Amino acid sequence: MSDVTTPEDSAHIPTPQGAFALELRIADLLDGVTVRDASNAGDGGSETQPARHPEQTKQAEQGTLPGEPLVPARARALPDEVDNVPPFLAQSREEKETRPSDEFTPESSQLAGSLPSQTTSALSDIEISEKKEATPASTPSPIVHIRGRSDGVVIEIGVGTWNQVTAALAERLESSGGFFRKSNVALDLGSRPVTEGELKEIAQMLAAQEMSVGVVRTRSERTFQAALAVGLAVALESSDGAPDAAAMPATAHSHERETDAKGYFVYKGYLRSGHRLRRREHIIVIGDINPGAEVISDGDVLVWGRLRGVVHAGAGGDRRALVAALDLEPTQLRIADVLKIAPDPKPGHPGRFFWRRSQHKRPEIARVVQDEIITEEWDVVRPGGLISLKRGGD
Amino acid sequence: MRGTVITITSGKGGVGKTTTTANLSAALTQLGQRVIAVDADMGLRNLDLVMGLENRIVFDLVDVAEGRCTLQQALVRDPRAEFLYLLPAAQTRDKRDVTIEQMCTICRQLVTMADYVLIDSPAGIEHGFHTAVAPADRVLIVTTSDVSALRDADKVIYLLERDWRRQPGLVINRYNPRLVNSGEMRGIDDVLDILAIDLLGVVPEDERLMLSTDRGTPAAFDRRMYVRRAYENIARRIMGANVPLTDYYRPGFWGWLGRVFGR
Repeated sequence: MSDVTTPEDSAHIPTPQGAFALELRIADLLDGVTVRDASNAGDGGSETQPARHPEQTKQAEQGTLPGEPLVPARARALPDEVDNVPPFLAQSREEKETRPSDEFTPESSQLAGSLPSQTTSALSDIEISEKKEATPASTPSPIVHIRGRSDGVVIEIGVGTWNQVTAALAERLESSGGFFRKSNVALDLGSRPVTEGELKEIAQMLAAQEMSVGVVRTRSERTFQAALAVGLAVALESSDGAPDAAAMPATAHSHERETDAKGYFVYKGYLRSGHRLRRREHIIVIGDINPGAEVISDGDVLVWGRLRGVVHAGAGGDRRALVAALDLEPTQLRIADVLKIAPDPKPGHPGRFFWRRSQHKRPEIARVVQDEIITEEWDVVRPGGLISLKRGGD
Repeated sequence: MRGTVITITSGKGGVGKTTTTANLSAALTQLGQRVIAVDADMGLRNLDLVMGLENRIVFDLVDVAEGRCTLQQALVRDPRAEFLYLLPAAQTRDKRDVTIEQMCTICRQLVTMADYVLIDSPAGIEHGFHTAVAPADRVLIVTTSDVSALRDADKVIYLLERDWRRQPGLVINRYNPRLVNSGEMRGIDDVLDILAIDLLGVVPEDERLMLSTDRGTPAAFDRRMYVRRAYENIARRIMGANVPLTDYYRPGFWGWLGRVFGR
């Protein structure tokens, strides 16, 4: 029964100090939000929501609309660390997985991995990563954790610089005195982004001990691609520990074009609350993105439907990325390091969960212009189509 | 003939899973169906209270699962109905004490005895939820129209589609037509707009419903309550009848008359 996550299990997770730090971060963010709201109010309190009326769009084109200049550091922190799962969570998940024939391990472990609210989880991730930076040397958990299992050996790589990792691994392998000889290794890299060279390095170290890497488990898209390039079997898990269902069918697809970042990924159907789609390619969603769902792409995001969740285009830092949707009403919109949050609903409004669509709503495109995300309605009569959207590089 | 297992779940707590289970059981049994209600909320059982059968419980689901008694011994009969039984949860045990396999085995036996087996799922999306959903032929999602309940319902639908390949039906609970009419609350269309699943029924808000659950008399047994009409309609729709949705918007005398007489 080790697979069951009880509320107590997840309740012990934040350490007192961690909880305190998290609180600080929330307060911090709230500060930022209020400041931004205040600036909006100062500009006449006009709407900054992506769903906008035509005349407002014109304003936006003239640059009079109050957009949100972002705090780049924080926004930049988001894309890379969304994937982060604290090492102790990763460990507890590992323990849970030991039970065979377990139908819903993904789900139960997901509970430990993810907090229900998207913002809080992002926050805690940031907080944790900052803690890591603050105390790199004195991490309580070992950098490299080796455990024997009936079907082989699991090597978990924890927190630390790559040199520390290799040193610790060499030391552990040395001290084992060939105990793990000829064993098949499952290499759990957590959310650490690992390059191809580093992967090869580890494979060589293991080969020196006559061990072979059977499978690489990672929660980082970058590591995933690197492992594919090196030619290792690799399993990509989403940050909540569940195998990324949407990513599975496309594994072969991305293998074909492993070096081609300009590919695209098509998702058909609803993306519901808690669903997280993360791809390096451009993402095309044919269906709706509900509040609470996340779509993250290194390229553009195109939604043939209603976009109400959180979207991050150009997560690799490409500010030229676009977000386009038939109905663009995101709770939060991010392009590269620029971020825009939905405005608070007007009094008497049923809430942003259901922004009422105006009757003549047009598709919209969001992009970054001078450190701000602006949205433009698609217009049939625009001369030359979307001239302004042409990219410099292409 | 094999019966149907229906799990009633919601994700969020307090939206009325237990009340819905009790009232749907009562409504189905009044339509001449043989019904067994199963409380899957181990450790926090209260379906027995809502159904008013607390003092009759001798054995519970965990006893059956662990072989301390037969299934027939654990079933508690509701004296007000022709064929309505309750399989109570254990109050002293934990959600982990029943595995998915045990739950499926029990439900396989139950469907041979009854037309409908209604499982009251615990709140949350942990083990208890999966245990309750695993044996289900159909899943009912209960939600109110407030944002948190909708967000949780959306997540539950996602989980059901991902892990169990189920398309659930929706019951909107505590629907307040007055607030919807004045534009302050989300209406049925708004809810369906986001959840995009089949609507099985709408239960209007009624404070007497709370009193009836408190007294242990499901509203569906109480002929004086007009909410029972809502449950009866849901029960008919579960049985496959095409019952038009009651229009709670219609104001005035004729609207009231229409609601009373069920159209």
